[in-house]
Amino acid sequence: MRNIFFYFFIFLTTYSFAQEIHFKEIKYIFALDSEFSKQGSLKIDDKKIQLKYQGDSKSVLFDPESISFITKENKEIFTHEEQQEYTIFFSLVQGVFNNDIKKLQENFTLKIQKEENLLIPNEYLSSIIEKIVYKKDKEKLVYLHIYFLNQDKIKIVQLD
Amino acid sequence: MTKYLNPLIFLSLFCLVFIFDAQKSISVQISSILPSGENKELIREFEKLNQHKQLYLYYEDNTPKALLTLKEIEKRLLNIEGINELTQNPQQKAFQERYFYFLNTIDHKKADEIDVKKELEKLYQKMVTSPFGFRIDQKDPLELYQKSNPAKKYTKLDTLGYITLLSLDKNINSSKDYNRIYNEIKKIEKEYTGLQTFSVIYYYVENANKIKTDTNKIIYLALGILSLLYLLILRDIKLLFHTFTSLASSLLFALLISSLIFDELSIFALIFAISISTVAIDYMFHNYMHGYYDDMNFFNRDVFFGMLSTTGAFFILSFSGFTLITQITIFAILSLMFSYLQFTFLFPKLKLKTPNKKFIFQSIQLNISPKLITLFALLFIFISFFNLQLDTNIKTLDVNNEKLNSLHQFFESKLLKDKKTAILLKEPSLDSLINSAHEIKKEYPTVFSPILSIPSKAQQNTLEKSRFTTLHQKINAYAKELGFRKEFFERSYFIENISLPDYTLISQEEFAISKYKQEYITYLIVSKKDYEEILKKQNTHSLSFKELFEQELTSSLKRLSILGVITFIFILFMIYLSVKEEFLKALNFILLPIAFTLCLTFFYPLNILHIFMMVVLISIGIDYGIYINSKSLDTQTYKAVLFSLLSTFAGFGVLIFSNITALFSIGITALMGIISLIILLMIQKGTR
Repeated sequence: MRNIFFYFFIFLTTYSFAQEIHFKEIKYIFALDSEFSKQGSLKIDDKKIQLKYQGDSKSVLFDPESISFITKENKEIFTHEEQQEYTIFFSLVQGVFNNDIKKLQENFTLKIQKEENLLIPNEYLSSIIEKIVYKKDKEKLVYLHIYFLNQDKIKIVQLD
Repeated sequence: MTKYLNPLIFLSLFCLVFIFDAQKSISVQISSILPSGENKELIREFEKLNQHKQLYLYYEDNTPKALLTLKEIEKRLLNIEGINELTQNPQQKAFQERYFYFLNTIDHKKADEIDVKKELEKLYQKMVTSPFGFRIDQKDPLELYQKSNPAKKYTKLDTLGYITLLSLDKNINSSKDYNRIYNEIKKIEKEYTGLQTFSVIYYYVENANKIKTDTNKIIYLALGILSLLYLLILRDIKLLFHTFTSLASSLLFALLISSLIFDELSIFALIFAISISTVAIDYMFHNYMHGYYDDMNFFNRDVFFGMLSTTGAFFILSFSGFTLITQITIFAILSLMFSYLQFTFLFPKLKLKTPNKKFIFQSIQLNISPKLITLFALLFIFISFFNLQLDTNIKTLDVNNEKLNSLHQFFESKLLKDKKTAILLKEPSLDSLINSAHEIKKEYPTVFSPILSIPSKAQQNTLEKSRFTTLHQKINAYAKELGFRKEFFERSYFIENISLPDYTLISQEEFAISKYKQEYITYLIVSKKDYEEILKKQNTHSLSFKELFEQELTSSLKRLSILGVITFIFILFMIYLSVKEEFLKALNFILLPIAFTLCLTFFYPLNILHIFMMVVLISIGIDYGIYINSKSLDTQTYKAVLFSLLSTFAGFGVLIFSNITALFSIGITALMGIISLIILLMIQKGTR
């Protein structure tokens, strides 16, 4: 019985303080010369992020130890090393939404400009991403643009 | 004017050494004592080819910020001139991309069975659903080639630490640069408790420092003992000053001439030869004690024979073909002869007064028959031979830097699946060099070399062009159906416009190729488990110092044995020529030091320096044999021999305080020899 209360308490502290952000993502894929748009949500707290797209039964949970792909029936757990691209994506989200500059500097060099912020990738990311630009209005993300070297682009805009 | 002649000679030689930059030829590298020959030249060529030096970093911190701290350290290290990010050579990378289909082997089974359309549909889905973009390898979109995982920038260890690698600029080659980089890294290392760094350049810096510290310690000790000898026993500062000046002059003279003869003079050879040079003091002592400097009498027959026998023995041994032995013997001959000339012709003009003090040996004597001593020595030598083991591993003579060895091992074990070593490949043409490298790689897939980025003619000939044509046509047809860009797969599995590069136009340096005489060479990094097998192949050569030293030693053994016998006969002849009737007594001055030094075989195997020191002891022993058994024998001779022995201890004996195996070996052998000679002076009947 004590365990049930304990887990309930953990659940409450984990999710009640998390901010939920709804966003729209427009992805341009150069190989297909097409744009694909979808909406999703991010639940962000200090340590965890949960990503879910509309119309997709699967969600992705990022925590300090692992990355989990969760469906109603199944949960697949991977290490950060096994899912490097997701790890970088979630670190980026954490850094941008929590204004965690140190987190961003793990993989990027940050240049704060007047209108927007510019992230130049370090090390091996520089062979994938050309640059990232984002703009925030107080806590709200106005936009986040990711420019890939293969000419793909992702635009993310916060909806609420 | 004559009293200034000695310092003037010293100053002139000092200036000449600087003018000719003779000290520049001194090398602290163990390779400088390797016998000269093709193998040594090939090692040197390999060192030029493989200038890629890495800097390993390990940072351990029990907090989640360990990686962040390591990145911060990395940034600081990158600010040091000569330290760069570890990147792939752009030329090699370009070749690997251009000749991808030549250099890699297609999975034939997968290629036969693959449903191209289905695979393209999967790719399409992945691109659309992936949250962070999905990259298609346009060279191999169907994944028909086995891909090695790209090396991770940071390797996480179970110990909560991370490892990463940086590289050192290939132009960083001088000891000055090594020291600068080493000191700057160590400065940063001190600021982070959990940080450990390693690079092969650390060996150059730390070992050179250890050798220098050790050498300084020995020089101070030797000077201290010699000063004590002169100041407390002889009480003649003038003699001390002139002897030191003369010895220093003879060393400078030998260094000057040796630097003109040898491109590189090993520090080991130099220290050893300097020690031998102090033996020249006995020439001075014999002249001095017998009043030759009072009478202005220039010629002392015993001293002349002593000098002739020692330099003669060294002269014979200088033909050994061994670089180390050649360097030592030439240096010693030059220095001893120069000392002899000074002690014989210059010192009588310095007006030194002969001392007349009571001698301690007068009260000690056992009077044992010379025959008995000869018998005992021969018996001991005979027994020791059964126990004799030789240590031919040259590396045991080097500085044993255990701390660096374990650090090196730590990084290698964490980053490499198995231990690696280098092998040199030599072929008559570029074509056959590239082909051989690929043939070996085919048989032993873990082999690595920059040359493997160049495709071979054999690889081009084995490509199945029809398979590529089919794949290329299919993928482009289905891609169009699914809505891919028209040109997106236009280069996939397309080999029509790719032809082999013109080997003669390739920048050889970028691919670790070098021309050696009329042939071409490169290196292969191979697993230690495959090493022996690969070395059996034609045109592969070992790059191991240990193996080369052993090979050369084995091949030179016959020559060395002949020279040893000639030296021994020469010495016997010199004894006979000098003392005739007292032949056996004089012979004991050789046999007993040999017997004593062979005692060492009961404790450890003898290395090349133990053996060479024994030869030197024979030369010294014969000097004493001649003096002690000379017709002109008197108590002054004993004084001269005792002082010579003390000075020999100052020269050689102090080497037992060295931490370097090479120098310690010399020291311990010398000490055993000195003890045996003192005992012989006290016990041999009729010796005094």
